[in-house]
Amino acid sequence: MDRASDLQERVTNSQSAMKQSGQAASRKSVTATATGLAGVLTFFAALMSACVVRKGSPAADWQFLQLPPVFWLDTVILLGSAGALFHARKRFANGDREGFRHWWVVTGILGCFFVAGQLLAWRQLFHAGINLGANPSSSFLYLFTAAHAALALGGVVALLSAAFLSKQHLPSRSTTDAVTLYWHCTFALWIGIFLFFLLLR
Amino acid sequence: MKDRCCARSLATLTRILAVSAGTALPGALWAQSCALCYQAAASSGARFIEALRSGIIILIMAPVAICIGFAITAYRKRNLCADDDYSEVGSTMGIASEQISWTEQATCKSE
Repeated sequence: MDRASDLQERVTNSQSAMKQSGQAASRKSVTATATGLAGVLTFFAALMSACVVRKGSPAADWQFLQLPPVFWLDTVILLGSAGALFHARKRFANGDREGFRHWWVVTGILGCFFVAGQLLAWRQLFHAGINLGANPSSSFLYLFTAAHAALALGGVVALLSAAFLSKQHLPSRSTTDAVTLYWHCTFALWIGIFLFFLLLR
Repeated sequence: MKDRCCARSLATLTRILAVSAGTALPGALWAQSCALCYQAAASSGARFIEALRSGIIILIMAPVAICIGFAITAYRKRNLCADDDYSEVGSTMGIASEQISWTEQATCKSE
């Protein structure tokens, strides 16, 4: 009897240690992602600073751009993807594997739509005669949106690979935590860029 | 274990502060600036100077936000380092972190 209870206690202790070890791994991956995103944030801040200084330069060749209406749709799509990710995390916490996978894939697909929307916006701009070298303002707009689209594409790849490549179709907690942080930061960054261009007008 | 960890962190922090003070305090360093940039900015109009000021403020926002983020995270997780050590030891030995923590405390008390 003593031996059985000792064994039971050891199993419980081992499970507790494994859970704590998983939490520590999650913290490490989130810290690594946050450090990378801090670099990305600094890059976009430097671009914004350069944009503001160039706008006020003595050359006075800055032309104000009419932002493509697709950008509004892109914002709504990203908002929807953030909501879907919130639902996925909720399902993950409840242990609902199917529900989690469903909402996680929805987030990835909405991310694909966002990148497609960016391509559509560039197409509209190009057909309106606003190409990369037309004006400093258009150069900055292309640069910002291209850099952010690359960031979003990375998020989409991470989301979809986490959904399809993980064992038993359920990624680890450290993966979900890191990808969630990445995707929410991508969303926040897009809101920041969009507001910046709206205020710049 | 926890006290040793905190003492090590404090020693590292003191060293960083000492090096920072050593490099930042000499008054001669504060007088250094790029004369070319200064002249270019001063000879421009008020509009460009205003844009330059706005640009500097935007540029400083990201590092400040990162520093604040680090400070808040460090404050919120100030008691986690000892737990991490215990959990890693526990996962390799198959012993719960609470037991190791208790053993460590007992060892410290006996010392």
